Amino acid sequence: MNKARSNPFNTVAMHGALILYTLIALFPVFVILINSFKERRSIFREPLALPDADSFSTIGYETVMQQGDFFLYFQNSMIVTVASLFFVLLFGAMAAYALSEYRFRGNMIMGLYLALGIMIPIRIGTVAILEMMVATGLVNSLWALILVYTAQGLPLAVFILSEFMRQVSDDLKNAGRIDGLSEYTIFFRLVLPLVRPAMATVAVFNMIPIWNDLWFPLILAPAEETKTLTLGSQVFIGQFVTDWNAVLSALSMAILPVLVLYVIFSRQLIRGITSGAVK
Amino acid sequence: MGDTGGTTMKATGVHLKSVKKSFGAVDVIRGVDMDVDRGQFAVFVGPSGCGKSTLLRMIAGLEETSGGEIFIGDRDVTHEDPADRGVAMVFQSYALYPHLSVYENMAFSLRLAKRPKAEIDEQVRQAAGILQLTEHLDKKPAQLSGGQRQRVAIGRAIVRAPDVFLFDEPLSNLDAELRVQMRLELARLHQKLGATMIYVTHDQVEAMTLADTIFVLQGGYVQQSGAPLDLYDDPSNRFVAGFIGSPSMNFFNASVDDQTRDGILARLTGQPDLTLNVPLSQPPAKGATVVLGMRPEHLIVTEADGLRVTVDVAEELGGVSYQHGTLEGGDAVIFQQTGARHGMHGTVQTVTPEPGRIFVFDADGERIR
Repeated sequence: MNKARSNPFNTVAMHGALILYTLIALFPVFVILINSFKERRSIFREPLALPDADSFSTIGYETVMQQGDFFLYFQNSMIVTVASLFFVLLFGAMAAYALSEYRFRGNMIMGLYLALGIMIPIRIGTVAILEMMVATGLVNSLWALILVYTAQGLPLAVFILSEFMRQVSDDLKNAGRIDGLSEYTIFFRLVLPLVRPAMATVAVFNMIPIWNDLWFPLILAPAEETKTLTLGSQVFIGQFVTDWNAVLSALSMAILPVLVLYVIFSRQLIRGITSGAVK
Repeated sequence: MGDTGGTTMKATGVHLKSVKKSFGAVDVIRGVDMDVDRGQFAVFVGPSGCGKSTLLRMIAGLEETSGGEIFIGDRDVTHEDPADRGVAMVFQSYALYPHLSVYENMAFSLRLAKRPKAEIDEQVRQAAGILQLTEHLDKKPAQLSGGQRQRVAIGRAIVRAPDVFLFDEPLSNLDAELRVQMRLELARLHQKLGATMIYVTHDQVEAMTLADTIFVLQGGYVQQSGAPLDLYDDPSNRFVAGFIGSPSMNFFNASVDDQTRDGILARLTGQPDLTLNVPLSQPPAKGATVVLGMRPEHLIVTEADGLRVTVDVAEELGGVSYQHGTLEGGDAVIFQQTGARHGMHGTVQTVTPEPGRIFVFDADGERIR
C-alpha cells in the first residue's frame, strides 16, 4: 500500500467528495420519490418534506393506474429497449469482430465510416427517417423505434467493442481454429465471453438514452398501442393543468426497471471501465 | 510405464516442398524443403524474425501458404483447414479457454467432434494422469500456475490424438527452473507417445536437448538441418556455427599465409607473430581472407605459443567458468575452464585451440572443409 493511500486525511477527503457527489446525483431522484407519495398541496407547500400522516397519499399512483394504459406503455418501453440493446450488441459485436480480426480491402475506410456515426446526431435525419418509415409502413410500430435505436447505438458499440476485441489473444482464436471451431463459434463461444465487460458498458451507455427518449416515440410511434412510458407520461402534463401527482408517480415507476437493468450490468460495467487500467 | 494403452499415437511424418510465404512484398519464407520423419522430435531454431513461427503456423494451417506444398503423411494439406490437418498446437501464451475448467478445456475438441461422453471422460482422465493434472481438473485456468497451465495446454493437444504435435515456444513464458523441468517432461512425453512433434524455439539449449533433428532457420531459409551434435560438430556455415553452442563460437579474421601439404597456415589479423596450422581438404589460395571459428570449450590454456588474452571478466559457475577477454588486436574472446577456481580476472593468458577443432569460413560465411 502506498503512503498517499493510507493517509487518513486523504481517505476522509476522498470519501467526502464521493459522498457529496452521490448526494447531489441522488437528490432529484429522492425528491421525485418522496413527492410521488404526497398529496398535491403538500408537493407545492413543502417540496422537500417527507410524506407524513397528513400529506401521505397514493393518489398519483392511482391516477396512473386508472388513466391510460400504463402497463402497455411499460411493456412497449421494455420491448423497445431490450430489443434495441440486443441488436446493437449483436450487430455491433459482429462488425467489431470483422473489423478487428480480418484483413480485407476497405477495412480502415469501413471502420472510419462506422465511427463517423458517433459524431453525427441521428436526429438530424428525423424527417428522412419519418419519410422512410411512412414508405415502408412501419410508422406506429415498435419496429420503427427498434430500428432507429439500433442504428443510433451501433457506431459507438462498434468503436468500443473493436478496441476490446483487438486485445483478445490471437493464440486463443487459433487454438479454437485448430480445435475445429467455425469462425462463428469462435466469435460466439470464445470472443464474446471475453469481451463481456465491454458489452455491458455498451449496453448501459445505450440503455438509458433509449429508455428516456421522447423524440422518436413522439414522431414515429405516437399511436396509443405503441406509446412508450416516457411518451405515455406526457398525458399528465397538460398545456394548462399538470397532474403532478401522476407525473411524479409515473416517473418513479419508470426509474425502477432501469435501476434493475443497471444493477445487472453494473458489475460488468465497472470491470469494463477499469480493465486495462488495473491489470 | 511400458503399456501406454490408448495414448500411443499414430505417428505421421511432415514433408515440405519448396514452401514459400510472403506478406505483401515481404518474403518471410523463401523456399523451405524439409522432411520430418514419423515419430521424430524436430526443432525449428533461429533468432527472432527468422520465420520459424510462421513456418510452424503454415504447417498448422493458420497462415496461408504462398507457394510450395505441405504434406502430412502422404496427404497434401497445403490448402486444408487447420482442423482437417490432424495437428494439435501448443501456444506460448497457453491459449486456454479462460471461462472453461481444466476438464472442459481438455474435453472441448472431443465434445465438438460429438464423441461419446464415456470416451471423452476416459481420454481426458488419461491425459490428466500423464500430466499430473488429475487433482486440478475442476479448476479454472486462472487458478493454476504457469507450468500447470502449459501442462493443460499440452493435455488439450494429447486428448485429440493428433498425427503431429506443434509447439510454438511453449516454455518461453515459464521461469528458468520450471523451464528446465518442463523440458524434461516434454522429452519423456515424446518417448511415451512416440508422436511426431515439431517444436519452435529461439533457445538453442532447448533445441539441443529435445531434438532428434534441428532445423536452423535464418532469413527465410533452412541454413542447416541434422542431429544436434552433427550441427555442433560440423556446422555448414558461420551462422549455424555461431548459433549452436553456448557461449557462442569465437570468430577471428585471418588470412591464408601459405598452403601446406594438408591444409593452410593461417595468420590472424592483428596478430603478426602467430600462425595456426589448419588441416583442410580444399584449402583456399594463398592470401585469401578467411574467418577462423573456435568454440570456448576448445580453447585450452597453454605455456606454449598461442593467443594472448587479457581476461577482463570471469564468470565462475562452479563446475565451469567462462573467461571473457580481448586479444591484443581488440577481438573479443571467450574461453572455458573446468574444475578448480582459476582467478584469472585481470591476468593475461595464452590459449591455443585443440587440434582439429578450428572451423574455417570464407568471406561469405560458408564453411571451408
